[in-house]
Amino acid sequence: MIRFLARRFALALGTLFVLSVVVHLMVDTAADPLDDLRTSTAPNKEVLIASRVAMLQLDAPWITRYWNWLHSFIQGDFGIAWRSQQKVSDLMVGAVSTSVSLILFATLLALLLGITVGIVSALRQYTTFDYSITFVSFMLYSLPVFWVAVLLKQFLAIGLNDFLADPGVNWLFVIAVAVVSGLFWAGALGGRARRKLVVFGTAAAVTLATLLLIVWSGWLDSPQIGPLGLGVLGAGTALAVTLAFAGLSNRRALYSALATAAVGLALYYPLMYLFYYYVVDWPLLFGLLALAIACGCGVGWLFGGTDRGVSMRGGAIVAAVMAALTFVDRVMQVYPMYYRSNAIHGRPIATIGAETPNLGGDFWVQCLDRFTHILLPTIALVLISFASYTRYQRGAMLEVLSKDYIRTARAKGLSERVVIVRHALRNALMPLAAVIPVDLVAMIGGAVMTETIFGWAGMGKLFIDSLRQSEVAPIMAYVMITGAVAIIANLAADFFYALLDPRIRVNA
Amino acid sequence: MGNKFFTAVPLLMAGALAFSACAPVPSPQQSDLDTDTTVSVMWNQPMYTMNAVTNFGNATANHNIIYLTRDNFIYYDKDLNLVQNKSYGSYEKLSDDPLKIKLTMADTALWSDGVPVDAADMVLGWASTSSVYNTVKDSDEIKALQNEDGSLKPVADGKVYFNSNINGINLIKEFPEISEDGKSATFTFSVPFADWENDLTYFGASLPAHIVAKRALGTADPTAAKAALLKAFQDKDAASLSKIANVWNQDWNYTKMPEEAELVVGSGAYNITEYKEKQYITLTKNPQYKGELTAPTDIMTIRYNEDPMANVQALQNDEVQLISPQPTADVLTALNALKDVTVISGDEATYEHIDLTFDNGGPFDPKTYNKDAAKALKVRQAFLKTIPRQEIVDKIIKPLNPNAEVRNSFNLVPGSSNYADTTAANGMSTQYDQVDIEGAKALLADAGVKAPKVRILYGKSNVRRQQEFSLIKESAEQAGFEVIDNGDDNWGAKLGDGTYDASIFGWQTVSPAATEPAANFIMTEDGPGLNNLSGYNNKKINELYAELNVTIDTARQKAINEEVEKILVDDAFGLTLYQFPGATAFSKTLSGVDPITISPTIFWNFWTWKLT
Repeated sequence: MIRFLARRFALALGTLFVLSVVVHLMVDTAADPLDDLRTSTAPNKEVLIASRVAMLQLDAPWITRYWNWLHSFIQGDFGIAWRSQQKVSDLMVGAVSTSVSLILFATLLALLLGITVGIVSALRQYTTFDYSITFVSFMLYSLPVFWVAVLLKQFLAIGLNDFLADPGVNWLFVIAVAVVSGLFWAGALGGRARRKLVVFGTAAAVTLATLLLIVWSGWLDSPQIGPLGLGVLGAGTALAVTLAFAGLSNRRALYSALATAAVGLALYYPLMYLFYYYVVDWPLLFGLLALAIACGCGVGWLFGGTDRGVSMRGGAIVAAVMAALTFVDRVMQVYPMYYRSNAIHGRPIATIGAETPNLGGDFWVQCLDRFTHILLPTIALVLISFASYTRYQRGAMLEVLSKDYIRTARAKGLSERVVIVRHALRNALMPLAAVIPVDLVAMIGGAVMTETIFGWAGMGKLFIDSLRQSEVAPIMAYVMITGAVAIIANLAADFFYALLDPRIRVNA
Repeated sequence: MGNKFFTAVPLLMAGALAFSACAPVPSPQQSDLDTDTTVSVMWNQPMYTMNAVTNFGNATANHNIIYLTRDNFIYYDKDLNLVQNKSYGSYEKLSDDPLKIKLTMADTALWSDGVPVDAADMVLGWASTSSVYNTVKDSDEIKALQNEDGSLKPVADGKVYFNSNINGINLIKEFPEISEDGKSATFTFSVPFADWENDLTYFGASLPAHIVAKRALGTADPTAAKAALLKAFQDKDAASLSKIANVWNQDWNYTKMPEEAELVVGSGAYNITEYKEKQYITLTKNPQYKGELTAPTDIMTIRYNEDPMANVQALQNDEVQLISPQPTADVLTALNALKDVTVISGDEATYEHIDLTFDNGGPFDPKTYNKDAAKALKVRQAFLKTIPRQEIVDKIIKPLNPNAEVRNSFNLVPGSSNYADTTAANGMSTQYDQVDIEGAKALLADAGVKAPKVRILYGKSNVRRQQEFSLIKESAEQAGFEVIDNGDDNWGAKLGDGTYDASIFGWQTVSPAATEPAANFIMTEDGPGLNNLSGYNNKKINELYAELNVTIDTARQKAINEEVEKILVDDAFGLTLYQFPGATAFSKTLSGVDPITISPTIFWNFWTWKLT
């Protein structure tokens, strides 16, 4: 094991070194730091050029500049971005955190959606549903992000803001959404024609009713979940979680999930008073979330029985969902104030930036503001990365479903739910151990186009700006950091794989 | 646990609901959301230093913020005329030779921390940009000051290096006479300097002297600090000056809100109150400002994004009220489709031109024809006659700026006050208004030159220049020229290396200073002017510019420039083509925006903006 790690580590260092030489040489050759001065007519142009040549040692051979860079890099100094005279390490800190906050959520969401849709697609292999999902995911995969971004801004920001200013029912749109939703659920749930028809009708009707209710009840002016919504959603979550992980026949699991939802509901008002009297911050909220999950586990444990673990897991998931819904509800409560504020002036969904300048307001307002800014870039990123996860998960699931042990499981009379959730899903998730670390690199590396178009000052933007301004130091820092993370991530992927899959040995 | 326990669960839920229904909802605490009037402007590049007169700080992105936060003696109006800002200070010329100017601060000129602006600030402005006090002059020594990472080392004790050298200011070598009250200072130029009035901008809007002195010399009291600073300059106290220079070079370089409030002390209509790196900078009305160029809103936010389409959509979504994106046909279409938005198509500071090479043994060089200058002139004239200037503007620029015109002056921006007179005098429009293929053929026949080969250098990947090249090629070949595509992505580095006979590129005009264009055309004993990439050498031009440099009289300056341009046209030096197109768009809630071509472009008249 030690030998394995040492060898990989040495290889990693070598790779990084070669990478640094190649990238430095390429950037140094391509970049022209004097570009903007050449066509300047400034009277002191000569001085400016001389000063820049001296500053960047442009009269020295490339190897000198590379050596200087390497020399400071080894000492932990990333150098400066010479145009703005800022330390690269300072720039990196802000850029990495911006990129992570932008891409983390989008990646998680894309993973969740992609895996779910991929699994359902695999279970409904070669049906119209499967083909439609395949079609849609390939279409999304091939969309250029700058185009998606412009469309998203036009419809989901500018269009939605116009709509919010004067809400009214667009029947064509509402009915189209209802029909699509009906088709989706009918296809996803499958079954015979009659059942499909029932599902289609129900889903379409529920969607239609929800949309109309949202518009007509004035919910859009002061959106909230409220205790009633929390009760309905909590009970629904409890049912769904139990159905997926335990089966409704497991009464203890069902009741523990429902009881957790009830506790969550009962805590709604105490929490509202807590949020009213105490200044809230993220550590407190995460503490409360952890407490909620612990409570959920506790409730599951109390219900006990032979399958205690299942009940506890269900309780924990329901508790987390209830906590999240309560948080969302509290954020929604500041919406009317946010909407009317001078900085927003009735256009809540933003097209650029990570926050509204000079907004002011408390923690909840800031949360809402973050949300209205992160919404569009997240959708853009999800739309594009979701497709690959879908394809990936569909393939993995299909491969597992054709295995002998699945046939064995079915042959011994296990229910389809148990076969899929316990036997197939677990094994089909294993390839993700190879995908997720690589996505982590993408997260650190940022998303050049998305960040530029939505005006987020992340790593991708830092990279492209530096390239445009012929600043070698930030580019090198970028390449070194993403390169190092990529190498570590791949190492970690190999490692996890070996841990998860007993057939693989790291020493091999 | 029996069934009873299980039936309790729905009861529990119902109970919880009932409990919920009767409890009162605490309404959210009233947040202190703003109520100020705010205008948001989108700009492409973030500000990176509040000291823009250093050798690396000269960028419009910096000048804009300084313009809004530090008052000055002068500004340029719509026609690029100099306008005095008497509420900051006044100036008068005491004598022409030696050129003596007296600057007097107005009582209304105050720093935002309440300290009055006075002679110490002017002296710092002059001393830091004149390089008179620099003891580090040798380029090897300057190089030794650079860290390996490119940053500037603090200069060692006893060595002084202000990282700046401004033409004209460096002609003032003597410490000024300062009045009793410390409000005025009289500066004397060692030789008369034509653009002294343009250079007044370096005396105002400098860094606050009392804060520079406090940081460098540790004197906290503003009056004492200023006195210490003045004394250091007066006595050439190297130890103090080296500390002052270090502070001056480095401390005002920031890309996010600095921790020390003294670094955002200004003297203009606005103060910097928030700066989120690469996101936005918030300027708040300066309560201490007593001058005339007042803030039109409580808050001005400059947001940063360079994507033109993102600019348009942010304007449409009312996140910003004013944008000036790089225009493309798509961006203009999108802008024109917007309701409640005013679009101004106009010019930018960069102008496109074609230069011919005089000294490379090519078709335009007299050497090629046994030093027969007349023959070379005919070939040059013939080539210039084939350049389809109007067609280039109509086909390439008009779609981006419907008001675009052919530029007919080498040195003056269209719309500047002397433009009409100069273009009438220089003859460019009369001689090269129309493409004259027959005339060109006749000139070539007259010169006895057959099918001269012309290599044209231009930016290979630049679509606009590709189109220009093909239009020129098509036209010139009709007259019998053989045009060779010498396009190169690395064109900037090839300029002046003699591997081409004609070049198409743009010059950026930095200021309307009369002496600025000299470097394009003169030949001195040390070699060509810095921007004379054609090997052009005309004694008369050299003399005229030598005279212009020391001519204070503006009428004479104008006459000299007309004469220079006439000679350039007669020598067939080259042709100017057009001004780069720019677009400015703003919401109908904003009025009064009227951009000029040079920095600070859209901001120049911010005090007349109105937000409804």
